[in-house]
Amino acid sequence: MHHHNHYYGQAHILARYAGLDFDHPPRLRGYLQHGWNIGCGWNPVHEFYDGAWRFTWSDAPRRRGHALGRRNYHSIGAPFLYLLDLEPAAEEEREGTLWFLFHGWEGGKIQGDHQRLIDEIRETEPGPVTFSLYYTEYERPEVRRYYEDAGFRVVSFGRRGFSYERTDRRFLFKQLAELRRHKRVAANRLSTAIFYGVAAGCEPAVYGDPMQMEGENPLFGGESRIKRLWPEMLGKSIDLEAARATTDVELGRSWMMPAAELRMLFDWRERV
Amino acid sequence: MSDVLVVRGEMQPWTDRTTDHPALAALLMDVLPAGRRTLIVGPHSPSLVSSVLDGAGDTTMLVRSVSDAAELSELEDLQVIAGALDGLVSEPFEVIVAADGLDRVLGYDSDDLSWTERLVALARLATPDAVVVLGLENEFSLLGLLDSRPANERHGDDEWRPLHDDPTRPVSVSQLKSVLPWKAQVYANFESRTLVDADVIGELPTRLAAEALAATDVPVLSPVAEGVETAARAGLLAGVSTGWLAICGALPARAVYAQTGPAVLTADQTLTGWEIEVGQAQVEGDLRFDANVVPAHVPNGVTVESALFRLAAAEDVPAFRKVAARLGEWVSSEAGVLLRWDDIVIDGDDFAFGVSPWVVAEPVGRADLLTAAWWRFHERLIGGHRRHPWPPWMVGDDLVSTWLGMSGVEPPEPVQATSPDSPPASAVQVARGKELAAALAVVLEEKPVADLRSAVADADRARLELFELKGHVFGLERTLGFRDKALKTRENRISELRVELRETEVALKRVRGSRAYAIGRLISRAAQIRKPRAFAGKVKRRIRKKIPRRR
Repeated sequence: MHHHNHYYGQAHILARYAGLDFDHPPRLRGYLQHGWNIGCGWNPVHEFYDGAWRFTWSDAPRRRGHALGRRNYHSIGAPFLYLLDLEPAAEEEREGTLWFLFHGWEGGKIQGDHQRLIDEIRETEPGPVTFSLYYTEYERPEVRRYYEDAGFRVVSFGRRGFSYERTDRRFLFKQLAELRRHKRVAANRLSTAIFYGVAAGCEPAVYGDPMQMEGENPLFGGESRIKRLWPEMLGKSIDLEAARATTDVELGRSWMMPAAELRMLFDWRERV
Repeated sequence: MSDVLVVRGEMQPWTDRTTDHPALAALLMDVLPAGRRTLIVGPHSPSLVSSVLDGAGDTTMLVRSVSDAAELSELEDLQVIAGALDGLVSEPFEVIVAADGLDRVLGYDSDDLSWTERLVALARLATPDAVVVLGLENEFSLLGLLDSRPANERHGDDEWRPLHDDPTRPVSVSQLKSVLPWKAQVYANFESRTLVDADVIGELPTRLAAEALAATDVPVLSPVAEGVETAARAGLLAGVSTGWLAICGALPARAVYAQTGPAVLTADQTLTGWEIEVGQAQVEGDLRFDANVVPAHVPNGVTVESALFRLAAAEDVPAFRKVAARLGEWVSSEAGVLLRWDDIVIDGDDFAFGVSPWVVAEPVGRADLLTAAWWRFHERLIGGHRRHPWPPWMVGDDLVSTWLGMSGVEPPEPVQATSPDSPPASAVQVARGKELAAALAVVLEEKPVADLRSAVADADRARLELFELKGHVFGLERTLGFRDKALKTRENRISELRVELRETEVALKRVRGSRAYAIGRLISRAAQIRKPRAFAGKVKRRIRKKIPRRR
């Protein structure tokens, strides 16, 4: 399995859903999409081994990948949706906004005006704000301090890991738990977290300085393409029904499958 | 039995091969008027001749082979003549049956008559109001176009003149109609197993035509069925048949005649579909022929198989899943009809049985019926090299088990493999259904696919599989590399911890040997004394015991 499949504990969630070991998921025969994007589900320069199978969340990445000359796709629905099935929601009072800063990754840090973003959040959000930073920002005191000093509660769900190391297997569990405590989910870019938030029952909002990431590859069209394709997901106040419909499409709800089918699709047969 | 008459142009030794064609016989019985003076021209099977004799008046048969004539003379009420068409001089006949066409009516001593000249010779033998049945091979047939053999091998060299080089032969329905001296109703003839009124279009005759062609032994470049469907959509089904049968001077018969098992199915088109009749027949075995299970009306519409093929090609698994679920809800095992998605019609929001008369002889459960249908679909999807979204390691039992799951059949519990080649749990689940599907293929006389395109595609698939397996091996090796790296990281960490441990132990030993540690330990123990006075008393008593008293 490619080590990306362990990111955020996605393979672990699917293994548990399939009735297998959560802590040590079996090797998944192919590549698992680990985040929403406007391309084929992976970054434009991602390398795949010959004849690799690609398991996308939904059909659109398959179609785009096909146009890139890539084949062997099968859409399965986002593992986060399977997590929602595995972890039913308890009745809980929701309050405030869980705000996600567009995050960098291990290879690229974000650059932008954090203070201006804070001011806009204060003006917009009606209740308390919890600010989620990916660890790459969380561990940069100069970034984290901005938001702590602004009076926001700052959280991080851990690391996605690399080469099977330091993966927080419960990353998405923590994220889901936080989302279920909040009424709104917001971000400065349309991103995976927004779709997760809507799936977890939050009202979405996408606004503020989208910021730039070092080495960002605009091959797929960037922010302007997002505006053209998903205008219903942008703004401070969004039509919830439309957002839910789009979320279902982007997370591939209709592509989810039963455990037995997943086991066969991933070649998770019992072996000697 | 009558003596064989011999006229000019007979051949000996020679024989013309004939085959029974129940569908053709049924059509002849419907169109030939009873009690008329009849001539059968050219080779026809004895059973077909018998069916003509059943209703005919005085009947004469002309064949070029003397030995064939001698065999046919065994039939009652039949005057057999051995000789060529151009050698026969006779009073005109009220009925002429030349269903075999005009290719095998001349001998090696005959003049080299073109097809139209033979037609003239035939017409001379007919009364002005005669009923004439005339067959013609289609030079433009799809089967002929896809025939993998070169022309000189296709027709053999048994004919001393190359018949198919004759430019006067009609090569379309309209040409045939225009060249005939009679008004004709033309049937598209698919290997004489399915005959369809050339003016009729629809999914059912297309399916029956494709089935008829699938049962032939002709080696082809690519599967014929796809071309048949495309031609039918273009309204060209009659244009690509293997031949035609012109019915001249007779009342219209039914629109479709098709061989189904040993019986014949006939159909007429209605506004909403097809009115069906199926003859009775006895077939015993794993599958039983039961004409009563064929509905009297089959709706228009595409088959479930066509719909599923399209969804699989579009990689639209959710929609595929919905159809599969609806099928699971629809299927019951009461009638015992062996399910095949290529004969279940989508009828609005519902499904309808098609014309298959095959039922399972022994009681069988709903799951096994579904398995049989899904296995047959699997064979046609994968064997047909159709596009689909499932990875190669699923193809086979697992894939059928997956579809069964979509249809509401509980998946088998995973089993622990006992060897590297242990079959998956799904193998047991689908075993009975596979047997039923195989039995159906036998009674349908389906031949293993041996077309060139499939062979090339099989080779390509094998190459692709090899390519992908190499990639898989690479992926596994890379994973091993990652894991190895992770193990090394841990090993290094363990080494670091061991060094730290050793250093700590040395430091601890050094501390334990120092006066400061001894004093500290003494102080630590002294600090644990709860009652200092009592402790001091005890110490004093112990010292007294050890020091002897002064006397």
